[in-house]
Amino acid sequence: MSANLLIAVVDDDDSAREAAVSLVRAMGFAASGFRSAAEFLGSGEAARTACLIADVRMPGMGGLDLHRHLVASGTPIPTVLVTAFPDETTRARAMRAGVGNYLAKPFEPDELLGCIRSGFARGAGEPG
Amino acid sequence: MRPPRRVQGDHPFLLSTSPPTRNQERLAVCVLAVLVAELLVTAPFARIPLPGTEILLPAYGAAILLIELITSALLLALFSVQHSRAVLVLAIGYLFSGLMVVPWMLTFPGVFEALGLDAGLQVTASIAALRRLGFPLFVLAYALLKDGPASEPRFHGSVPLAIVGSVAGAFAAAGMLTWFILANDDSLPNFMRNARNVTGLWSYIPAMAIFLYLTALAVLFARRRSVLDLWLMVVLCTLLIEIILLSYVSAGIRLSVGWWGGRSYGLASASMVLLVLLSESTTLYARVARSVSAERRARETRLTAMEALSALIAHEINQPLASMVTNADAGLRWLEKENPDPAEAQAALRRIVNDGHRAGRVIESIRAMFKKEARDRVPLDVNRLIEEVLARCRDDVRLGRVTVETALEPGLPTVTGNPIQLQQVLSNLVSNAIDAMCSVTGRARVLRVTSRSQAPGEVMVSVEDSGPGVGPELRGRIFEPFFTTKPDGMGMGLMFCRLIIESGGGRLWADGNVPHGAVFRFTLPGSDDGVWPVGEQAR
Repeated sequence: MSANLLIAVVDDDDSAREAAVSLVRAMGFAASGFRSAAEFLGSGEAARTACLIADVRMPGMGGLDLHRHLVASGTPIPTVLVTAFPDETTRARAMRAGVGNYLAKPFEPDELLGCIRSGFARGAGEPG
Repeated sequence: MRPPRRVQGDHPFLLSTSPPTRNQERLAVCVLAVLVAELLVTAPFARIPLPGTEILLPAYGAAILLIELITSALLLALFSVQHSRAVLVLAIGYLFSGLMVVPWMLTFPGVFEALGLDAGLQVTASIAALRRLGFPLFVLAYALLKDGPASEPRFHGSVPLAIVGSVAGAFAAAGMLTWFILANDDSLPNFMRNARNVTGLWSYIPAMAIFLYLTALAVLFARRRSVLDLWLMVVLCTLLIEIILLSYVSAGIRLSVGWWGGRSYGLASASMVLLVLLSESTTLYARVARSVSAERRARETRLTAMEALSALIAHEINQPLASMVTNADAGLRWLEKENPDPAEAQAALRRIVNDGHRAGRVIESIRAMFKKEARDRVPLDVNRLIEEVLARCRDDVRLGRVTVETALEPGLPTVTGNPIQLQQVLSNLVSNAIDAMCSVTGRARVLRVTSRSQAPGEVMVSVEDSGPGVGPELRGRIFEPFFTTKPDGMGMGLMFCRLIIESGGGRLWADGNVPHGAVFRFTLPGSDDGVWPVGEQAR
């Protein structure tokens, strides 16, 4: 379990990604940033990722698609979707896809922390 | 519960409120001239009897009945929109006059004998007298009730009820008068000597009718304002000529050349008046429909442009702003830890600096985009630009019944500018002026565009209107973004105008017009020295 502590931040916006990684690390977690869904999937880090923070709008695969892809391939990761342009349709789609958290940028650090903790709880409850 | 009352002047597009154009006035004078000419041509033959022409009377009566009923319906429709008592009275006048044609025709000696209809000798003449004297009274009532210098009394009750009530009243009055005349056949005044010729007593009727026509004409002339007033005056003149032909030129001999002449000219001009009214209202309707759809289209494009701009700003600015907040939060966390990590906090601060610059670059690129358009400058002939814009606004000008005056100084120095942007400024000012005058009644709606050269090589353009004007306290504010005096305005037009003019080195300001209205003036620097840098020549 101890190896399963990585928090992955997937965001194509450099500044946003670095900011989120820094914030999560300041909270005391191990965090890693990825420029795209493909980079994350190709990194081999998915297996030890406890929680995924992904931007909704990205070139190629967006955050929601990444989550669906992980679910479909049998390796679901608790996901926090973040976006600078929140809208109800995407929120509803995210909820239907089983994404528990949908945050508008800029998010409150405590809000993000709560989401990460609930993600950890869900991850810990899952077998394997 | 009821919709708010309309104030005077908010119906600029109705027959009863819109002022006649010069062409319509010319047409009305032409109609009168033709009628007078016909009167003169007919006069020598007026007394020749045309026996056997009774057979034409039913056709004549049916035509008059239809024309007057349609006119009445048109006026009732106008009343239902405008709520003007005057228009209602006039509509009922036409209805009553039309209804009384029926008994007049049916009792005319020798026309419907086959049907066994044979009323007394005096019946037809009495009905004719009622129609003759009744109609000008209704017109007189209309002229007195309508909006003169003082505000017109408005109808405040239920419109459908008023229409149904007065139409029923007109039918009842026509029916009862007919019944009364038929029932009191013997005690009617002795108008007719026989079926063809009138007695001396009849001569009072045309004299009274002429007096009433002239009175109504005078009142209407003094209080004339609308297209409807103009054509009502034509109607009264027609009736005047008709009665002169019927009663004097033909010596009151029924079915003579003069008698038929009067009838047929009256019929022809009544149908012409109706046609003019119908085509006027159709044209007005079409213009209103076209302008409404054009306005809607313009508003939609404006909205789309605004939405696109704000989406762009939101998209490009929101990202760096959100990152700045998150970076600041991260930095705080690093410093608030038990073992603060200044290096991490520094990194977060550095990222904030970068985000701030990034947001600044976005703003700069939006401004540059706007400036780039302004840099597309060519030498321009201001007078041609003005003429192009006025030509494009021709529909609005006609619709608003606005007279356009231009005083363009020949041989103006050439100015340098972006022709599309300057056209936008001019057409914005012109359409503002037209809009401002749509509430103007009782004085001319004049749009005056002036161009002149002034030192040093500058060109000044003025757009003047005779609208309500802009108060001195608002003259500065109207150029502020989102400030508007129009109910559906966005408050962006004048702001953009000033931006465009000032980015070209000119000035734009508002003044009061004398005696009424507003003047918008702008200056454009001349292009004597060929090229000059953007924004440097602002004075």
